[in-house]
Amino acid sequence: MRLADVSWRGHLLRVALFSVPFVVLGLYVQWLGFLSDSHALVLAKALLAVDRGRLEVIGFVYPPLPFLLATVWPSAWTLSLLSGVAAGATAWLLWYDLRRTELPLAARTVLLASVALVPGMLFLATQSFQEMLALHLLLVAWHYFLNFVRYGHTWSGFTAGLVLGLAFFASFYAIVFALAFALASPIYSRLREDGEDRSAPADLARTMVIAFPALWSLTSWAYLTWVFTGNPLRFLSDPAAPVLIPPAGAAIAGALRSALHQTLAELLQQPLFLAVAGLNLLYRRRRAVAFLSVPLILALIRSAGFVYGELFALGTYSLIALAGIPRRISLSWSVVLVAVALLQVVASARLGTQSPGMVDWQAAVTLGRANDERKQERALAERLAQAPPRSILADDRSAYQVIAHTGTARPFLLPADSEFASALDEPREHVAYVLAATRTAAPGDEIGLRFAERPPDGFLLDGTWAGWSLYRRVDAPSLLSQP
Amino acid sequence: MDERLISERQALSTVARSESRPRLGEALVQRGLLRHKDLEQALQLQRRTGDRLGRILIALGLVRRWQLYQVLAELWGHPFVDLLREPVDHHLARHFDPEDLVARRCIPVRREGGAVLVATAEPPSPALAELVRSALGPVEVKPVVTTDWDIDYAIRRVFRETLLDRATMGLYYHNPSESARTVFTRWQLGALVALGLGIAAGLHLATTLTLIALVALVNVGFMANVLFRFVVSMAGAQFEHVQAIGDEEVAALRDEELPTYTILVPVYREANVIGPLIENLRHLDYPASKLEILLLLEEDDEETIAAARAARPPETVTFVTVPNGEPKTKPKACNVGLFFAKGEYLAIYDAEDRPEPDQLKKAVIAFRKGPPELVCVQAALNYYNATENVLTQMFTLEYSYWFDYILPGLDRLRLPIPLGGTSNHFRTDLLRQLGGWDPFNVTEDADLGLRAAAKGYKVGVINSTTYEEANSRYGNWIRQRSRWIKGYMQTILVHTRNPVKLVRATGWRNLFGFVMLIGGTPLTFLCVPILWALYLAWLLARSQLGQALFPPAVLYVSLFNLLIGNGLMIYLNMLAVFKRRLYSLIPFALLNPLYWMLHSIAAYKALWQLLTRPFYWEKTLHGLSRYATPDAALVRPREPFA
Repeated sequence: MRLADVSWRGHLLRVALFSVPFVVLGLYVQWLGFLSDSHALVLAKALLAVDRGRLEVIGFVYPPLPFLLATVWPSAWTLSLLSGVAAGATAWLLWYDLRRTELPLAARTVLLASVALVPGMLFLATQSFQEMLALHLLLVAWHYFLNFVRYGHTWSGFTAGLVLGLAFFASFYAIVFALAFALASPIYSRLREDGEDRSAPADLARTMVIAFPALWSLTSWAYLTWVFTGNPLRFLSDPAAPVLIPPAGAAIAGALRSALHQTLAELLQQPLFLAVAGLNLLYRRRRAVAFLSVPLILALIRSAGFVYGELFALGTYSLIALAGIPRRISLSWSVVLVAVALLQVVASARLGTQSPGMVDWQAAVTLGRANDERKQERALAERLAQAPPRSILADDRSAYQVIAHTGTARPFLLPADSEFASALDEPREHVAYVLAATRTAAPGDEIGLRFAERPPDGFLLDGTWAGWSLYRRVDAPSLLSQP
Repeated sequence: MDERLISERQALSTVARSESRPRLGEALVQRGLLRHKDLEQALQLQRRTGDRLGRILIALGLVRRWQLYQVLAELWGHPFVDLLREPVDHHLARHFDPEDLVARRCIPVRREGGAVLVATAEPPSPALAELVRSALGPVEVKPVVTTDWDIDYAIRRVFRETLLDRATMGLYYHNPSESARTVFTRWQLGALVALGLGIAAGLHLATTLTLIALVALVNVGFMANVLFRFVVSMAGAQFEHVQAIGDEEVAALRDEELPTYTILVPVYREANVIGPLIENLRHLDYPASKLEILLLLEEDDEETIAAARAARPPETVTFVTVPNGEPKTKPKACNVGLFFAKGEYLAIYDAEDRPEPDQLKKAVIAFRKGPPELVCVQAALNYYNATENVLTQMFTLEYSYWFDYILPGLDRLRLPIPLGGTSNHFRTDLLRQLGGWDPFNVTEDADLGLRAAAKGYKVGVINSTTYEEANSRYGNWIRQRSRWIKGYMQTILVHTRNPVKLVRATGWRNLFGFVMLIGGTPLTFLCVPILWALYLAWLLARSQLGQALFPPAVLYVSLFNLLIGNGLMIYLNMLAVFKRRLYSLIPFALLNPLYWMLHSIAAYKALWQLLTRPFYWEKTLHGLSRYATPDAALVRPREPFA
C-alpha cells in the first residue's frame, strides 16, 4: 500500500528536506523584490481581510484555500515559504513513486531533476502557491485513490475523497480530477484479482466516495457565492483565478480546434509524458488509456472556455509522467527514459517563459535584481504605507501589487469597503489620495476608468511612474515628495 | 485405638458403598429412563466438554430434570422432594441470604422437631450443614434432594419482595449517586435554574449579545461534535480489516475449556417473537450443557408467559418470573436474571436477536486475551431487514456506522465505549461488583459502560454481529429513539453529578469522549432544528437582526456547520456501507439531514419525558417486519485486509 510504509514523522522530515531548495529560491527572489502577480493577489486579499477583521469583505476570492492560509501571517515571505513547502512535498511524493519503480538512483535523480528544475516548474513551485498546492493535493489524492481501488482500503478512499474536496478550494480543476478518478474506480475494481464485488451498487459506492466531497465543495462554494453576490458562478471569473473566459462569439468548432491545437503543441513539449505513456502501452496496456485521456480532457476543458494555464498543464503532465512510470522496467528502457528526461529539459525550457511575470522572474533570478518597474512599485508602496487609514482610494483589482508591497491594507479604501462607492463619486469628501492605474486597468476598475487621464475634482497630481498616478487632495500633504 | 478402628471401618464402608453404588448413567439405564446408546452419546460429549453428565443429559433432552434428580436422590441416599408441592417455610428460609442459597443451590424447607429439612440440588456435604448452622445455630440438618430449578423457583417465591427490592433499589442503596432514581441533584437543579434565569436576564438587559452568545454556543458545540465523530470514525476505518479474533482461534477452542455461559433474554409483551427467539438461540455454537438461558418474563405478562410455555423450549431455557413493580424496565428484569446467573460469563440478548453462532466463543477468547479489568465486550449490531423501506435503510446505515466504525474508533483511541442495548457480554463477577444495571435508566447499557469506565474497568468490542429487526415504522422508531435519547440525558446527568470525582477517576481524555458522545448526542439533536430555523429565517428575511446575530466569527462557524458539517455527516454515513458491503444503501446516506430531523423530534419528546416521566420505558414493538429470514443483501464482513 502506498505511503503506509513511512511514518508520518518520516514523511514530514522528507518534505522538509525536499522543500529546502524551493524555499531558498522563493525567499531569495522575494528578497530581490520580485513578487508574482499570483502571490500579490492573494496577499492583497489576505491583508484586507486581516485589517478589516472580516473574511467575507474579500468578495469570496477564489480559490480560497491559499488566501485562508495566507491570513495566518499575511506577508510575501509566508507565501514563498508555503509555496516552497508545497513544492517540496510534491517532489518528495514523486521521489517516493520513483523509488517504487526500482530504477537506478542516478536515473531517478535525473528524472526528478528534469521535471523539477526547468524554469517553468521552478516558477510554478516558488511563485504560484495555489497551483502548486493544487498539484500536491491531487498527487496525494492519487496515492490514496490507488490504495482504495487496488486494495479496498476504505480509509484511503475516504481520505482521497476528502483531499479532492479540499483541492477544489485550491483549484477548480480538482472537480475534473475527482470525476476522472471516480469514473475510473469501476475499471480498477475489475482489474483486481481478489474477487472484489463488481456489482453496480459497489461501483456506485466507490464512485460516490471519490466524487462526493469535490462536488459538495463546488455546490457549497457556488451557494455561498450566490448568497453573497447573487451569481453562483461568479467565482469562475474571479481575477485571482480566471477559470472561465467565455469565448466571445467564437464558434464551438473553432474553439475546439483552437484548444486541440494548443494542447497538441503543449504535448509535443512533453517528451517524458509521451515516453511514459508509451512504456505503459508496452507494460500496462490498460493504464495507457488513462495517459491518453489526459490531453483529451485538457483540450475539452479549454474548448469550453475554461483556462487551463500553460504552467499548470506543464505541472500536470510532469506529475503524471513521473507517477506513472511502470515498475521494474528493463535497464535499457531506463536508459531511454533518462535520455528523454534530458530532452524534456530542453523541450519544456521555454514553456511559460513568455508570460510577463515569468520574464521578470527569470530576469531577477539570472541578474540578481528585480526590474526597475518592480522597484518603483516597491518604493511607492513604502510611501503609501505611511498614509493615514482609509485615506487612499484604490481598486485592488489593479493595485494588488502595490497593496501587497505595502504590507498592509490599512491606508486604502477598497471596493470591499462599504463607503467605496460614495468615495468614488465624491473622493474629496472621503479620501485624501486616489491611486489610479494609467495603463490597462483591470475589468471593473472604475478608478482607472475615470481618473487615468485627469485627477478628480479637488485633487492634484502628486506623482506618476510605471503605470500609476497618485493624486492628492489639495489640502493633503504629498506622500511622494516627503524625505 | 477403638476410635481409630471405628473411623477406619467407617471409611472402608464408605468406599465399599461408593464402589457398589451404580454411577448416574448406569442407574438411569437400569431404571429404564435412558437408553444405553444415548448414555454413550452423552459420555462422549462429557469427554469433550468436561461437563457434568447430568447437565449434559438434561441439555440434550435425554432425561427429564426431575427424573434425573430422583435418581440422584437415590444415589446420594436421601429422599427426593418436589418443592412445587412441598410448602417451604418462608419464615425459616428468610434467615438466610438468598444469594448464598442461589450459590449453594439449597433452601431450608421446614423444621422437623429439632432438625431442619434442607432441600439441595448438590451432593449433601459438611459445607451444607455449616451453612445452615451459621444461620440457625446448632441444629441437625436433614438433606433432601430436589432439582436446581425447584431451588430457584422456591427462592423466587420466598424472597419475591427481597428480589424486587434488590433488583430495583440495589444500585441506589449501594451508591445513590450512581442511580438515575434521582433525576436532578440539588446542585444540578440549581444550576439549571440559574442558567435559565441568567439567560432570561441576559435577554432582558442585552438581548442581541445574549442571543449571539447562545447562537455561538450552539454552533461551536455542533461543530465540535461533528469533528469529534469525524476523527473517531476515521480511526475506526483505518483498522477496518483488522479482525480482533480470527476464525482459526475460534476453531482451536476446545469445548472442555469453555465455562458456563448465562444468557439473559428479557421479554415483555412479545408473545409473537418467542418462537423465533428459541430457534435463534438454538443456533448458538456452544455446548448446550454449558448454556444457561434465562428467559426473563414479567409477572403480569400472561400472554408472553403462555407463548413461552407453548413454544416448549429445551431444558437449557429457564423461565424466570420478574416480580411486578415499578419501574417496569428491562434493566430491572436483567438484575433479577443476574441474581440467578451461574455462568462465568453473561450475555444479554433481545427477543428478536439473531446472534452469529460463534459469538459466545469469540467473547470467551476476548476475555481470555484481554486485561483483567476487561468487564464487557460488545458485539456489533445490524439488521436483517435492512432493505425493507427507507427507514430501515437509514437505520441500518446508522447502526453500521456506529458499530463498525465509531465503536472500533473509540476502542482504538482508548475512549469510553457506550454499550449497545444487546449483545453485551460480561464477566459475571465484575458485573456484580459494578452493581448490575440501573433500573431507573432507560439506556442502562450506555450507563453501565460508562460506570465501568469510571471505575477503571475496560469495555472492548468483538468482531461478531447480532442481527436484529430494524424499526420499519416511523412512530415506533420515534418511540424507541426517544427512549434512547432520554437515557443518554439521564446518563449524562448521573455521571456529571460529581465532575471532579469523574475527572480523577477517568481522566480528561475519557471525560472528553464521554461528554462528546453521551452529552453531545442529545444536545446536537436538540439544536439541529434551532440551527435550521435560524438559517431559514435568515435566508428568507435577510433581516438586519439576522445579520446582527451572526458577527464574523459566529457566521464562519455557522457556515462551516451548514455546509461542511452537513457534508461531512453525509459522507461519513457513506462509510457505513463498506465493511459489510451494503453498497445498495449508499444513496440513502444523502438523506442523512432528514434522518437527523427525525432524531430531533425524538430528542424533544425525550426531553419532555425526562421532565414528566423519567423512568417510563417506551416499549418498542417487534415482529413488525415482513422479513422472516436474514436479508440476502447482508453479507459477512470482508476477509482481513492483506
